[in-house]
Amino acid sequence: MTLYEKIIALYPALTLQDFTTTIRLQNDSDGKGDYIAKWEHPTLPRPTEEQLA
Amino acid sequence: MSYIGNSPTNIAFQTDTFSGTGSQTAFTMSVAPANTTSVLVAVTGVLQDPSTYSVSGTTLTFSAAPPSGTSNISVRYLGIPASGVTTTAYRTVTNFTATAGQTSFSTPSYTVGYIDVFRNGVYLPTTDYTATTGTTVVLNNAATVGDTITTSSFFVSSVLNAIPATASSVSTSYLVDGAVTQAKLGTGVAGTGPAISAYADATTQTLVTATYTKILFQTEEFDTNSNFASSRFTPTVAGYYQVNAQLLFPALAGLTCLVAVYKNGSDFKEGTRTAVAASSSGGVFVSALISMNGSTDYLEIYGQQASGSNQNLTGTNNAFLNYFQAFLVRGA
Repeated sequence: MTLYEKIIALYPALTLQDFTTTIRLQNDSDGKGDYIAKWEHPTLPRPTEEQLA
Repeated sequence: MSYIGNSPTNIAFQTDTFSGTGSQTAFTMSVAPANTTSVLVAVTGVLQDPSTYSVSGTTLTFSAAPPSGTSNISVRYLGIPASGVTTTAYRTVTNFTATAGQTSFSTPSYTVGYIDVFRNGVYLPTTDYTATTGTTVVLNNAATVGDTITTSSFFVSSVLNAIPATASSVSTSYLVDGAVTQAKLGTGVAGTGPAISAYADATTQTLVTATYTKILFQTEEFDTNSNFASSRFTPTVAGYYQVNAQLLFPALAGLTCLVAVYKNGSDFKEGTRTAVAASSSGGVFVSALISMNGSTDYLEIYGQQASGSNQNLTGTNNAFLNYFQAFLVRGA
């Protein structure tokens, strides 16, 4: 399951639009995988490491 | 007269001529000689000892006024200091009257290897003295009281400091920074700043939906200054860089995508987000002009697609589809 899929499972109301504005997922192609580069969603809190594990 | 080879050429030493008044002692020369030994001064045809006059800049001053006469004073320049070169006296003759047993004499500055020594008018071979300091001469055999020790010191720094005339020997260290103007450049002269072009090879690059992903450009077309590595451009010349990048996404209805230039790990410039049609692949392009510090600043290309599922870049291993280019437009 990708990071995106985990977040969507956590917050089903999020849309793709949210991931181009207030939320930025990033992958630096360095083998470390996807990560949350920015989380500025006005209402939903940033998921914790435990929630994404 | 016949010659073997080219005819010899000659040129007269530059000469000034003055008319004495019987009272005037100072005359203005056309050239500022280095010192009194740099000129031959004659009054009514009689060569004057340098001790009878002095020079300061372009002023020649006699210790006693020359007699009245028309053009009876001549000044012949043995050497003219080069303009723009700091001039040092290049030959200085000094007489010493030795004391009993004196061996060491403090001379005017000379370049080591460029000094002649005379004892009572007799030239001394270099084996008879030591002259290695640039300011002293030490005789091997002590002088007798009353001996006249004459040194002729040569200082060659003016020559050494001149820009050499040898072809291809002048480096940019002789130029003031920023001194070369646009007008000094020849027609068709282009800069030689860093320029890179690279494209994605056949390796599949998967972009997770809604995730900005660094794009790998494994194949270099050119990298003129070895500034491209690991799909990262780190120019070593400060200035303004034109950056171009293009990515190609698969034909898929509902897929939107973009390409972004990241500077130092952060999104810096983005192309327009494009909606791809089901009938054809979707290319996205970004073009930007970016200031780089020439040391730590670096650029990378990221792609992002929002389709709801993972997508692979298409058209990989084609130099004309997924590429990253940058080049120096102007210096900092």
